[in-house]
Amino acid sequence: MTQSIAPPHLADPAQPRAGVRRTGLAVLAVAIVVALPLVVSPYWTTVATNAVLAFAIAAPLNLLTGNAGQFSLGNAAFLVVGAYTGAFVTFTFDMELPIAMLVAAAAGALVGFIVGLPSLRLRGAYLLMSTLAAHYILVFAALKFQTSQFGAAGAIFPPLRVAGVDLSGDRSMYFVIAAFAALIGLIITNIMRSGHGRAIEAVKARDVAAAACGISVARTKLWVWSLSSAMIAAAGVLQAYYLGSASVEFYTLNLAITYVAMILVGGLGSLGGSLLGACFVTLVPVVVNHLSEAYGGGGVLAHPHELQTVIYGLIIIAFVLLKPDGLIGFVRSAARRLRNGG
Amino acid sequence: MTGELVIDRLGLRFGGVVALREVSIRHHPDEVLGIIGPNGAGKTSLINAVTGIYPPSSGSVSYRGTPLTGRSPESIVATGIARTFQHNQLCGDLTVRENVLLGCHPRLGYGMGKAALGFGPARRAERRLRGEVEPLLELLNLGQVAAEQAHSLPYGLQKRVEMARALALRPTTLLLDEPAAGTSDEDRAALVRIIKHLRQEGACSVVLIEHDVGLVMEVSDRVAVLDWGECIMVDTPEAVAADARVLAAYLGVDDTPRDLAPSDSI
Repeated sequence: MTQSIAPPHLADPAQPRAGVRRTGLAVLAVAIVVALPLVVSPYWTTVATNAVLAFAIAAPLNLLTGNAGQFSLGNAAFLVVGAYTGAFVTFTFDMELPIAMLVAAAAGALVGFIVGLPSLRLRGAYLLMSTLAAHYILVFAALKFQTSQFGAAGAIFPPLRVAGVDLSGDRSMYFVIAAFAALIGLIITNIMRSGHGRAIEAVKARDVAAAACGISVARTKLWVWSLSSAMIAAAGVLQAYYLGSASVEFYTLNLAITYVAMILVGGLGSLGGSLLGACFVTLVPVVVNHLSEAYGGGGVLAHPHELQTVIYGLIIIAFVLLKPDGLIGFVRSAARRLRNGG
Repeated sequence: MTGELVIDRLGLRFGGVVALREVSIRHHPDEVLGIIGPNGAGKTSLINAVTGIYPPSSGSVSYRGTPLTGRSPESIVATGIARTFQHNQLCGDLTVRENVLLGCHPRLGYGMGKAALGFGPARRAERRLRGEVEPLLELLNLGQVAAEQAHSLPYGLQKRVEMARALALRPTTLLLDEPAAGTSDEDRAALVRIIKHLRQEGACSVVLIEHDVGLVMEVSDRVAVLDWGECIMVDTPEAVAADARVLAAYLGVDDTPRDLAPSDSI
């Protein structure tokens, strides 16, 4: 009998030891997230907010791409669908954030369902192309909507208030976004640990076998497309409130690629990977800015934005070639070494 | 008769290539039907046409009186037909237990919404299903490797996981596509034991596609012989073994050793 690479208790989430470890890690993560803005400066609170928000968008994308195997560049478009649906609901019906997010999620689910339809026939690069087309179509539609509803500057969001409580401060904004990110993480974890999670993995790995197990491949794919887009659209409302405005110029293909970079760098099909990737990619501009200040902003550092794009590109190539399992792969092998006693 | 799989003048064509021509086979309830035939005879094509992977070009298939032709693979599974694959179709990154649990999918009993909630119905259902697959893992001697990732297992064990996954669907008819190909003598013995067990318990009828003629003769009640996409005879193992057409089609000249028989088909 061959020995598995992963020890049995790691490979099976049903084993109690792994369960205890997971719960412990989750408690630790929550403690760090809650304590963070209380100990670090406002600047780093902003950085942390950016990272947590990025995670809330990257994690649903990772569900779609990493777990279900559906490559998509549609996430920027789903964000703008969410932001503008949220803006419309907020301004037209004077609704508060939770309602706006729910309606945006419903709109995201519908649009995601439609964008996901080609996935029943296309896969890989061809599917990616169809999502690219969807990106341009949706952003164009958003531009028309923006012009008719909000004017050329886009939608300006008021400071966030929920039930009369002002949540627009840096710290409260951080907590709101972190709570939302935790909810996203919890939903994805629960689904992936359920029978539907197994079905999603089976559809990615062996669609013929999945069908032979009575799993509807089409329905599973469309469920994931809808769910993932719903979560991204809801995050889009939060992002727009956080940024204070939503304008079509923000939702570029570059933005979409940024989230793809996060899941590739962090690790496909892993929630921890989404988190690591979100932190990593969020820190790139921070590091570039620091370098720029430290070295007087000469040479390539005079163009920090272009430099970031180049760095993203290089990082993606490096990870795809050298570390396909992403940053989470380092964490996993380190954990394995620790457990095996060095 | 209920439980009967009726393949009626089934034809399957890929462009100019005829994979199946007017194949008619009745598979009775509670029987083990062996299907043999040389490479490219259309054995796997037959299973693929029955299970809805390839839409047949002509003819029909019905199961327990329900027409299967034109239905999707997942709706054919719902009628009680499960299958294994000639080439490994396990999800390698999932554990053996999770692969077998995939076969419980039609009995999940909770939707995506309850799955997202995590606690409550979804957790109870998962506990119930995990209880259900344990006897299967034991029956197929997979208990010790249940927590291993499927891709880490040797080939013969992977074939057994495939069979466990198919049995987890609680089929009334099980289609096995070359379950013994490339496996050890020990795996082969286990296979014989399992097929005989299913036969004795009346758990499900079995259609067995196999190149190992000895194995087919040992466990089958009847044997169908395919050659160039046609079913040339269906009879008892003894009659098939003695038939001149079979010897000519499948075994070639009568002194060809069995282990020189081709071990792979489409």
